[in-house]
Amino acid sequence: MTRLTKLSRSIEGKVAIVTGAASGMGRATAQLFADEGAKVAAMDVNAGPLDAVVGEITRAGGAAHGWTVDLSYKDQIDRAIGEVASRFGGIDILVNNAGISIPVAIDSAEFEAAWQRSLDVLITAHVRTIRAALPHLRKSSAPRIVNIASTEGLGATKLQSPYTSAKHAVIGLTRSLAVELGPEGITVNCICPGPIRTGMTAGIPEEQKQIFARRRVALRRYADPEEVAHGTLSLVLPASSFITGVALPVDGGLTIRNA
Amino acid sequence: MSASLVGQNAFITGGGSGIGLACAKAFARDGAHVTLFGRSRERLEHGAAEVRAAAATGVRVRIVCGDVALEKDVADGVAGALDAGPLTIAVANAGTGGLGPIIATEEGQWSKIIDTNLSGTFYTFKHAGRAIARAGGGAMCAISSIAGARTHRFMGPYCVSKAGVDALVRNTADELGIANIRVNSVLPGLVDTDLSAGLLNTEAVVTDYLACMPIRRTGKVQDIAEAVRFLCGPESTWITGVNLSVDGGHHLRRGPDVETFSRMLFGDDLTEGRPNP
Repeated sequence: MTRLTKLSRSIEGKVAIVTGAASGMGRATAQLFADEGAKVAAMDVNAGPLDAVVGEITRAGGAAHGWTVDLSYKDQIDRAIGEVASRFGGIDILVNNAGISIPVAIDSAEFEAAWQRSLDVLITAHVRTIRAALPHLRKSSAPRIVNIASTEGLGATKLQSPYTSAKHAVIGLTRSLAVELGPEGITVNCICPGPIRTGMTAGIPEEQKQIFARRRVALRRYADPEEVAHGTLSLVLPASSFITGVALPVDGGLTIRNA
Repeated sequence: MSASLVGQNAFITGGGSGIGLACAKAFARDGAHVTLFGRSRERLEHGAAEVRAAAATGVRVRIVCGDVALEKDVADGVAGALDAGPLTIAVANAGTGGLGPIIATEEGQWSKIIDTNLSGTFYTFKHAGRAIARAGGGAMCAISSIAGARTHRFMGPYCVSKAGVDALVRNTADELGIANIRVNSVLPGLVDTDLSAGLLNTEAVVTDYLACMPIRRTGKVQDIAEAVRFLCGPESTWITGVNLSVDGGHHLRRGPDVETFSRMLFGDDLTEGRPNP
């Protein structure tokens, strides 16, 4: 049939940066975006697993290129994003997904180092990728920024103060930039993933996962990374032009109970 | 690209016009059967024709007349939707508005808004929830409003009804997760519909709305419908109990100023908190 509506639900041909693309939600996002026809700029600090993800995409007929980047360093971010723009001819979508979790007590001798490293990767890197990508996003017909926060951005867990503080900050940054960049048509949103089967939760024994899911998650399970990637995809569609500044829980209902 | 909704069956209240109709078109476009529920047969028939024109092959479109404020009507509507197969999706969209200072709001005005917006959503969740649970799971979505999250002076009953809807959404999501039913709401800001025509036709009000919106344009029904489609589809399997703003960022700021209307309809004294003795 002839289409009756104008808004496009396709990211075919769009250039999308995904940080932390070598594993978990980043890998699922890179793969989903490639499946949808986007040119994926995959960034990660781990070169081997990153090559594997890029290889999987290109062998399947998708478009992807990898950049090995330590997001704690501004010069590495600036260089990689500059190269993305020249290689693919622009940037339409930025997904700040990379994350680390360093559990640490507030009175620990290791606290200062854990705090600095956590904030470097979880919040300062977001600001830097956004600043580096902004001139290119401004030239896009549907510029989209999605920051991956966490349900820790809405609640708190003991011994996670650097992570929890940084994730709260991601939500604040998202809201602030939504207001600042909205008049230019750039949408800025974040996703708060809940219990997901990724490297970060791989150490939790299966039995503990099931107890947690039964007690605290409305849908009573852990999710696969792909279920989060679909949420991200929805926010970066050209059709999602009126959603901005939201912190969207993708958590099976964990935060309903303020858990 | 939209994933398929083939095999899904959706019940939509207030489906004959505005946001409800746009939702119905998005569902039918992607292959779901749809049942439009509403008070006016004429509006439903007109809406159904539009949905059929937008529908994928094999989609069945039906209408059921009724009032969401009456539990029996909603129960009958859900039963009607089952003609197309087990129910898997419900959208509690039917809503009404009203304007005036709380100190001048008549009991009838209050209950009309609460009955339609809040009780109507409850009846929809109750009866559609039972049907969807029997089908083995699915999704329900309510159309709330930015008014559920931010104060709107002189729209008290409406704000309260929508805040109630959002609380009902979270509680229903928490209860029905075990039945594999996801429950969410969408919070539109100013959208171009019949319900908001009065607001849209008043320049001072529109100017104030736009001043509070990072993305400075009026919402379109499609903006809302695509978000509802997402929250009811296979792309959002891990999202439940969420109240999602779709408002150009308006929720980041204050609610709108509709004082102009209150002065026009109720006078300066009641608008400024000075009831006559």
